[in-house]
Amino acid sequence: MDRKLPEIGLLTPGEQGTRDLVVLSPVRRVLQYRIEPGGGERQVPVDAAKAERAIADYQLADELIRSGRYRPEPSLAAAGAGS
Amino acid sequence: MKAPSSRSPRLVALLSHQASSSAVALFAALWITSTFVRLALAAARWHELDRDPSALLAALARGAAIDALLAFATAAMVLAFGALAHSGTGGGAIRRATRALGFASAIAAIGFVGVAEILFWDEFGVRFNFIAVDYLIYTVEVVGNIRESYPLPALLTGLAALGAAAAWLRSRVWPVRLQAGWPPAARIGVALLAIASGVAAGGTGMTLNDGVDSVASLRDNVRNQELARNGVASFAAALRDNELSFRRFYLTLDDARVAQLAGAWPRRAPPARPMRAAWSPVAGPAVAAPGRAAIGAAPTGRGARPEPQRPRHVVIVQVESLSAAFLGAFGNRESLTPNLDQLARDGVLFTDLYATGTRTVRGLEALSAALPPLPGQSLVHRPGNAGLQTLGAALRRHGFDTTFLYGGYGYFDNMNAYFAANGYRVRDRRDIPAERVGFANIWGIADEYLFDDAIEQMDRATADGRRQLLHLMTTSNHRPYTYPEGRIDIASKTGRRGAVKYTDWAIGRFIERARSHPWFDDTLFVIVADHCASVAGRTRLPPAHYRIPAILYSPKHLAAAEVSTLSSQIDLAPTIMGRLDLDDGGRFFGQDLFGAHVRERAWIANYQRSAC
Repeated sequence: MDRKLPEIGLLTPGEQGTRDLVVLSPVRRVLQYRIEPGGGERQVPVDAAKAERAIADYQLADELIRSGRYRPEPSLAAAGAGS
Repeated sequence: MKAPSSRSPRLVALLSHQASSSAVALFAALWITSTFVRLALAAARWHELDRDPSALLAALARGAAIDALLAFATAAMVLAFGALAHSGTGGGAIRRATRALGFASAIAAIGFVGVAEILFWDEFGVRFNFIAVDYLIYTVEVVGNIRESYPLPALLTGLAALGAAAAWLRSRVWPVRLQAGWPPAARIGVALLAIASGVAAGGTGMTLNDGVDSVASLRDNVRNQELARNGVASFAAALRDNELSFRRFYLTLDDARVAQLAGAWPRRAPPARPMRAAWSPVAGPAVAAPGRAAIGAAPTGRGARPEPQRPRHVVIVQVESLSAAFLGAFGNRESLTPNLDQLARDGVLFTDLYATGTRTVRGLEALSAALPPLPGQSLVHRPGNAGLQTLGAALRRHGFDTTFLYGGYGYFDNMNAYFAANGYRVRDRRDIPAERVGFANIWGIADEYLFDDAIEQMDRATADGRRQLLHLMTTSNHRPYTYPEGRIDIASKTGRRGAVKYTDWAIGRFIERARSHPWFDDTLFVIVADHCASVAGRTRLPPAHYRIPAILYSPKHLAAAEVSTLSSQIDLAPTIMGRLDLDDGGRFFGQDLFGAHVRERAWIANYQRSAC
C-alpha cells in the first residue's frame, strides 16, 4: 500500500559513484536505498553506521528546536570581547 | 442510575432537566468508551508495554484523568447549549424522538472514533496524531485503504446498532420524566458556568495530554506514554502544533550516543569528516591549484582578521520551483535559462546541492534558519518559532539591515510573522506601490517588478553606509505561469517552460540593472531555488527531484568555479557568513562549504499535504 507518510532522509556518497539514502519513517522504521549514478534506485540492507549518523543528526536538530537552544549568541558585546 | 427520591427537590429538578440529563449521559458514554478503548489498546500491544504495576497504573490513572477532563469539557458544552435551548417545560413525542436520535448518533460517533483509534493503534502503535491529520486530508485514499482491510458496512451497521441500543437503554433506565422549568436567569447562569468550567477542564486535559512524555513513571516506555494519552486530544494537538514529534515517531538513539556522533552544541570544532580520497570538489576555468585559492583567501578559522575585499552586502534571490534540470548548466537543451547559465559560468556554481523539501516554506526555513527538515511542517508554520538562529539574526549582530522581500502576500503561509520574529524586516506586496506594478497574478507581482523594488530598496538602504541583507522570494515560476507579454519568445500562460524562461529573463535584467548601481561591486548575489518543480516520483525520496541550482555571484570578489560537493540548501547561510568572513558562533546546523572540514551530506524530506 502506497502510504504518504512523512519521511526524512540523509543522502551521502556511497561506493563507486553511487549515493546512499537513509530514510527515517514513522513509526520507528529505517530503510536504505542505493542511488546509481544514472538515477536508478534500489533498496539495500541498512548500513548501521550511516543510519546511526542520520538519526543522530536529526535527533540533535529536533532537540535544539524543542529545547529552545537553536538561538543566536546571547550578545554581540560578549562575542566581540571574546574574539 | 435513578435519582434517589431522598435527594432534595432542587437537585432532582436540576438533574432531570433534559440538558443535564443529556450532559451526564454523554459524559458517561465518553468516559466509559475511552476507558474501554485504553484497555483494548493495552491488550493489543500487551507485550510491548512496561508491565510493571506502577508503570501500568500510572498510564491508566493519568489516562483516566485526561479522559475525564475532556469528557467533562464536552458534556459541559452540551449542558450549556441545552440550558439555553430548552426552557424545560415542553416534552412531546417529537422532542423525545429527537433526543433519542441525537444520543444514538453521538454514541455511534464516539464508537466510530474508538474503532478508528484501535485500528490506528494496531497499525502504528500510537494515538491519533499528525499522520491521522494527513489521513483526514487524504480521505479518499484512507477510506479506500480501510475498505480493503476491514468490513466497513458491517462495522458501520454495528455502530448504528450500538447507538440505537444505547438510546433505548437510556430511555429505559433513566428517562427524562420530570420536565422542571428553569427560570431564564438560571438557564443563563448554568450555561455560563458550564462553558467556563468546560473550557478550564478542556485546557487542563490538553495540558496533561501534552505533558505525558515528561511524566517520570512513564518516561521509560513510549507505549505506556501513548496509552496514557487521549486520542482526540492528541489529534487536536497535532492540528495545533503542525509537527510530528521526532521522539515519538522516529527511531532514536540515547542522548549520549547522539552527543558522541553529532558533536557538541554550539559547534566548537568542526565534526570529524569522512572524506573521499583525493577529493577536490572545486573546479573551474579560473581555479589554480590548490582548488580553493580561487574562491578568495582560504578561510583561516574563527578570529581571522576581516579582509578588505570581502563583499559588504548580500542579496539572496530565492526562485520559485527552479529545478536544476531546467538549467542549461545542468544539461537542459531547451535554452530556457541563458541568463542563469551565464551567471553559473561567471560565478560559483554548486552542482550537487539539494533542497530540503518540496514546499516554499521549507526553502525559506532552510535558507534562513539553516536547519534540517524536521518531520511535519516547516518551522515557518509552527507556533513558538520566534527568536531562532537565522542568517538575518546572525547578520544583524554584525550591524546589517536585514529584509525579507516577497512579491506576494506574506501573511499567506505565515511568512511575514516568521521573518518578523526571526531577525528580518518584512516587505511584501502590500508595501509595493500598485502603480509601479505592471503585471501580477494570484501569487504575486511579476518578478521584474519585484526586482525593480529590490534595486530601489538597496539604493535607499545602502545610502547611509549600512550593510544590507536582502532575501527575495519570487513568484512568477508558478501556476498559472503568467507574465507580461513581449518579454520572451514563449507566450504567457502556456506552461512551466515559459515561466522558467521569464524568471530567467527577469533575473538577467535585474543583474544588468544592478550593475550600474554603486552597491553592485560590494554585493554577493546568491541565486537559489526554494524547491524543485515537481516531486511526483514513485520512490520515496527521489534525490533527483530535490536537486536545485545555487550560484554565488560577486564578480569583484569571487572567481568562477564549480563546486561538486554533495551539499544542502541549509549550507548556504553559513557559507554566506564564511564568504563575508563573519563569525556565526558555530550556531548554524548547516556548514560553510568552503570551511576546513566539509562533510558531504544532504537532507531531504517529503511532505505531501499540498504543494505550492
